[in-house]
Amino acid sequence: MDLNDSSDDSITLEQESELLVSERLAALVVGLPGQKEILYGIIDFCRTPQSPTSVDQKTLEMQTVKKSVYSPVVLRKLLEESGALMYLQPAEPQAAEPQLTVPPPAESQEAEACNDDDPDYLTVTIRPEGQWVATDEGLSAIDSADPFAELKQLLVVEANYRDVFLDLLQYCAKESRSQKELDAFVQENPVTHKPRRYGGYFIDRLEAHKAIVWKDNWSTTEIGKEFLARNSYAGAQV
Amino acid sequence: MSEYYIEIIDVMQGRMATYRFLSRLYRKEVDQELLDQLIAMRYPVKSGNAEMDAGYRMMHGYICSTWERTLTDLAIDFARVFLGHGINAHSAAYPFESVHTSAKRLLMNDARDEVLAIYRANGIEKTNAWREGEDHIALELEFISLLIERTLELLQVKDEEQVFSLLRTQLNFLDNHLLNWVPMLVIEMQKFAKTDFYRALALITSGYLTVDREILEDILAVAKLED
Amino acid sequence: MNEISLTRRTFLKSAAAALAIAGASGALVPTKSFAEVPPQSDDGVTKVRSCCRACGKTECGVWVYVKDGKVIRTEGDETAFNSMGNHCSKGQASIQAAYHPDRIKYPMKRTNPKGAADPGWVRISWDEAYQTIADNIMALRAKYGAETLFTWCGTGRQWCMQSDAGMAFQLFSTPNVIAAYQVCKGPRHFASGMDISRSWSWSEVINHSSVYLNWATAPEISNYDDSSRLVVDCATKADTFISVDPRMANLGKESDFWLNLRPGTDAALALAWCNVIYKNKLWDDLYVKRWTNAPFILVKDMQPTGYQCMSNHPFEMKSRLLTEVDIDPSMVDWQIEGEGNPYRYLVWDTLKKRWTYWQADPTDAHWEGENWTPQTKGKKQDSSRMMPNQRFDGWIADLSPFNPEIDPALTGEFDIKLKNGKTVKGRVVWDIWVEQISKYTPEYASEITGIDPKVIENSALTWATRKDPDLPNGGIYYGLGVEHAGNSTQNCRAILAACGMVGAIDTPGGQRGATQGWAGQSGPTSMLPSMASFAFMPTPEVSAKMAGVDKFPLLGWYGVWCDAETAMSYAHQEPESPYFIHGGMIGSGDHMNMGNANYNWEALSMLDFLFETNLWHSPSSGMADILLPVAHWTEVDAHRIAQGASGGFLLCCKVVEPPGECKSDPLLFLELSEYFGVPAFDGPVPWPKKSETVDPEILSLNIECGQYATWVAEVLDDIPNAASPKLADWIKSRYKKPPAPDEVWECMVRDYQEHGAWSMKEAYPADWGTYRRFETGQAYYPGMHQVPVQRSIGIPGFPTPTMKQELYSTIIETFHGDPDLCLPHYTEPVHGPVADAERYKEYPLQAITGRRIPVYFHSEHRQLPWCRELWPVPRMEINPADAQKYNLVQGDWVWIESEWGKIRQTADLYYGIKPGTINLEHQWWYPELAQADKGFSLSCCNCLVDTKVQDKYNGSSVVRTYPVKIYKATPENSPFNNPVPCGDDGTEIITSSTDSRLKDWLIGGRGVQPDKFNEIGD
Repeated sequence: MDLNDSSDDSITLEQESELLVSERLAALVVGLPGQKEILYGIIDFCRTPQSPTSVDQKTLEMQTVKKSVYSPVVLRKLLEESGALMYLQPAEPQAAEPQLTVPPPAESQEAEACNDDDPDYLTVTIRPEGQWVATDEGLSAIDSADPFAELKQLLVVEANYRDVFLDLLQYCAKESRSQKELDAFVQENPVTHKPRRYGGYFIDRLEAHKAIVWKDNWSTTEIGKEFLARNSYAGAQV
Repeated sequence: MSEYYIEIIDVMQGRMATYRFLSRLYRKEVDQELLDQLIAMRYPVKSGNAEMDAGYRMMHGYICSTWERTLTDLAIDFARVFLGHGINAHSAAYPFESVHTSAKRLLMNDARDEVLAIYRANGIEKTNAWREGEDHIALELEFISLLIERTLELLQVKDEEQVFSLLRTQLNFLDNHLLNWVPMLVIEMQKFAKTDFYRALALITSGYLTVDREILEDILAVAKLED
Repeated sequence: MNEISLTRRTFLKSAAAALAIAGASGALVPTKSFAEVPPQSDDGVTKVRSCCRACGKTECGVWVYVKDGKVIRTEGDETAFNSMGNHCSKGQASIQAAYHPDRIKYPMKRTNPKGAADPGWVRISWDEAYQTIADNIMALRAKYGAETLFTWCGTGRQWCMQSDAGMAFQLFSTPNVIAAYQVCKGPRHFASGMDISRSWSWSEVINHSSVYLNWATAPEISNYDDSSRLVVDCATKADTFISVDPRMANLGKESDFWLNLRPGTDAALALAWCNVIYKNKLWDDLYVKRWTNAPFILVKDMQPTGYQCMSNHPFEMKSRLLTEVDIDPSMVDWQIEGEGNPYRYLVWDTLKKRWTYWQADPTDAHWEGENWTPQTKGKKQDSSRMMPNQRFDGWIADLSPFNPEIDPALTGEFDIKLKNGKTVKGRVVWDIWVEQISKYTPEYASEITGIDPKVIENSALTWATRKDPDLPNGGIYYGLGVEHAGNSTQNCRAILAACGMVGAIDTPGGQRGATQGWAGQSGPTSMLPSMASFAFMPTPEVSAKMAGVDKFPLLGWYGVWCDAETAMSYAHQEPESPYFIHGGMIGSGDHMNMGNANYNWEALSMLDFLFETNLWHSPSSGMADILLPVAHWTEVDAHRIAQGASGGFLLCCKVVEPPGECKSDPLLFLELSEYFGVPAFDGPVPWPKKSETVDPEILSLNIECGQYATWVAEVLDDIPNAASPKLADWIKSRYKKPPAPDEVWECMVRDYQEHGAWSMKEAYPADWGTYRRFETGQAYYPGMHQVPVQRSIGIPGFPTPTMKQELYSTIIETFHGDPDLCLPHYTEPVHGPVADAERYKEYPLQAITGRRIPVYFHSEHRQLPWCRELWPVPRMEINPADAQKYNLVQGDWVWIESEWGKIRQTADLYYGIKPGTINLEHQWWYPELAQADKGFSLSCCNCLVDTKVQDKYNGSSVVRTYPVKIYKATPENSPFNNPVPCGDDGTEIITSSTDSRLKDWLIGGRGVQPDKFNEIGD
């Protein structure tokens, strides 16, 4: 929600927000392909209120691209508009609760700020910095995912590639791997030859299910390692 | 005679500062440096021109709400207001006189040629750094500020005939190449702007040009009376 | 003297209005947009010779008038021999394009999600744009492999395509170049690349042949590579004008024969022509025997053998055409060395009743016993049919006789003793061919095509019966229509077969290909100028992953485009994809040019990263993350060698600077390469920066056109045939020494201003100025077409594997294995009413599209007021009898629905199209709609396309000839209860030239009237 947006849209969204945050967040994820982990990561990071600077830092750490299209400020803006995050103004002395981000009308601003001796001029007083925190709806949207169930389902739907997936998880659990290495690895298994499946086929699915993560190379996540263990995969080493 | 000079110089300096300010706001996005200046500025809200007062009030209100997103929001709104994302010649408040005064809403039309001729007649041309038409509002406003700068120089040497001539040039330019189209620009800006900042800029521009016209007329009228 | 004075009131007013900017930070620093200059009068008007790119296909010569740094007028250059002063309506709207207020002038990135009506664009610097692009592309490459990246472009901003292939191959290192080429001329080049030489599908229109033939194209209106005034002149001056078109075209109505065939049945018609040619003994016997592989022997019952050949890269050709390696040595009467020479194709000599051979070895190509030397006998061309300024008399090589004399059998079946001891049957290719075409009598073809058999026969006879015994009457100018029904490759090959049968290959008016001259194609598929950049090309391992190469193995052979529909399915993350496509670059609106537009749009929405280079916010920018602003043709320097056979070489000369921060495509490509670490130029400065003294675009042009300097040197050195005498004299009058390497472009521009359009016949009399170059050894250009001329190649024949025109395609056999596919043949269009009869029960009309429109070039120019006023809405041509049946009147909005989508266009009643067929307009979208997709899904006919059917060989989409049903749009059956298409917010599209959005220049609250704009209302 834009503090300075005096259109009516934000008020309408506010009224509907409680029911629709999960849907709006889902739509946001669809509209920013490849950004899901970062968006969820920001919400997760803001379980407790965080300063803008720390959210900036965390966001930049999570981004796998040095120069992303979306700056940390813009990502927060979009998350706020979806209702998953909110900005906490420093509490006004008269206010008992944190306020939402609709600014007070300009007139009252003027009354506060007009401290110049000359009544023909207004001077500016900037409000202090606030904090970002995840909304309950935002948290429940990200907490509702069950990656283990999803991974299990993946191996049901793609039963013929079960071994390839598990081998790959194990391969990346031992040490992190480049895409080329993964590509060569999967092609060693003849089941990937006809129909043709390249490394990307498996990488995309495991990444989407949070079993592997990219940080200069591909590594198995804790979820992926746990999944290996749960599957009692022959020779699985966590 | 000389008692007025200080006041006149004062008036001219005030005018020059305002034209430069407006020109800057149209030329490109608000950056941190400008934002710092906007925070430090004092906003005149009792000029008597309702539009301008409302505009400054609105801008002041916006700047008071400065937070982490302000520069981003302003940059988005700048693009939205002046560049647009459409393709139907009605997708932005195009800051070029030609668009508003040519039948097919094109850039680089008669208006541009006319202001180019006026600039040349006054011994200036745009530099190579400016890669758009000469009829951009930022340049037209800057042109007036440049004429005012010359006026100030002439006032220092008390060349009153040249001062009058320059003031007349400013009034003519204001009439023929700003007030002829800025009212339309202002409507468009208010239609496209989503921030109070650019809505305010529209009001301030419209109000100030009106006021400035009155000021110029007044000065030139007084001179005529004494003829 | 007057005194300056202020009233108190004025002073107070001013004071009250004055800003108090001064604060701790000091006064606002003034920006300096002006510099002082001495008094000057205006610049005057400069007239510059250039060529126009309003369509990007024909290089119409134009004059551009410039005053005070702006273009004030463009008009046709009357001296341009190739275009005859043409400057069409699109060209004349160029100023409206250059100075359109909505041109993108700055790099932008989005701040709102993809698909949002307001993308929230924000300006960024070029540095940020380049860095963001490089970081994102390289990150995706590292994560998912280079194959995850693609480019997609159509006709580019200067000419032809944009720098899409270069960007894909050298910066992204991906093989996935999606190119409109796949449905637009690509199938023709594919076919001629297999059969003769790439691009030799193109006929020499400018010849003004006595028989002028337009097949599946109406270039009198607009592009293709020869068009407009030239085409009209050729058609009207011809003794006979033949038009092959399901639809009566503007010029086509003047034709002497109108073959209004059922869409997609072109090969059947071509085979019928071949039948007529054969039955009437009109084929060029010597050409067929000496220069095609028709006399070769096909042995179906043996293992294919072959050798390495060159395309863009080496490949192993394997075929069942009989060669020395296949046979038992006792079969022939000469000593076979070792295992036999795989290049020696056996042919039966009916004179001496023995086997002989053709040796298809480029290093030593000859018939047995032949001491081949370039043909020196021939005659001067008769160019009297052409306009006076087109008469660059070429030289026509005679067809050389066999020496030693032989007479290869064209018929017969032989016992072949194979090396493995088996004896099998071998049959002469021509024999099989004749059997095939014998079926295609005019009567049989009439049943398929719907054309009167007499018309088929008489048109064929007229075209094929020589007026000059030594030369065929002309070739066949064929266009897009044959490429879009899912049988494009064989349609094109069948047409080429007809041309080959009559010997109209590289004859005046015949199929000669794209002009050869000083340079290759401008801009397109351009690679970086450096040799070092080739080290970044996709590895063979990555190339093997090209989208679609499994399904269409010939894409690997052709080595240019990947399969668009496959690539989009990978981007759409279809579960069967071997990998997903995650990011890339797109030109303008390209998702509309092939495959299903709605499906493509969804696929684009799923990409992690996409950037677009464009002049406008087109439909595809609604899905882009970054926009890069490019230059208009008046702001670009480019060379332009004709893509067709006119022989023209013109220049596009930059006359004004691009506005804002626009850059030309070549420049941004060069600059972007630095961010990828790929050297743009060889030498110590791989990325020279644009400055007062250095211009990377000019540096690149100097390299691209470097051969001009070489050529000038050759002329000055008086090497034989350096140039025509007239052109040589002209050069000698201007140059004492050739241009230095860093002056090439500057010299060319200067020369062009004085000389005007050059003819490459004059520049290279022994190459472009010579016909039947296969006789003189100048036709052997393997690989990419249109590379700069190489003098004295000295290799006979064509750059095919057999070095002959391949009636029987060894390349198809290599990649598809089945000999029955290798001769041109007819297959029913896959969604035509015969092959898809079941579907036609529910969708009874056959839809075609793609015709030329005078004011638009594909998706371009919808936003230019002049153009849109003339042609405000898409028109579906329908026969009045059908219109009556469907209760439609002229102008009604109509739903057109296929199994795969539905759209609306307006009914345009037209007798020139048969009942049962409708002709839609393609690539419509609506600039007036403020939404991400700009309303393309309302009317773009590619929303109706089935993505599951494609040409078997090159993968071209079926974008014409599919079943639809139509019904009137009513309030009841239309969104917003409005038969007129509306945007997502209910905004109605512009439907008439009187629409205020095209007329008024004020919208908004206050009623300022156009003629009273000094009065401001309330």
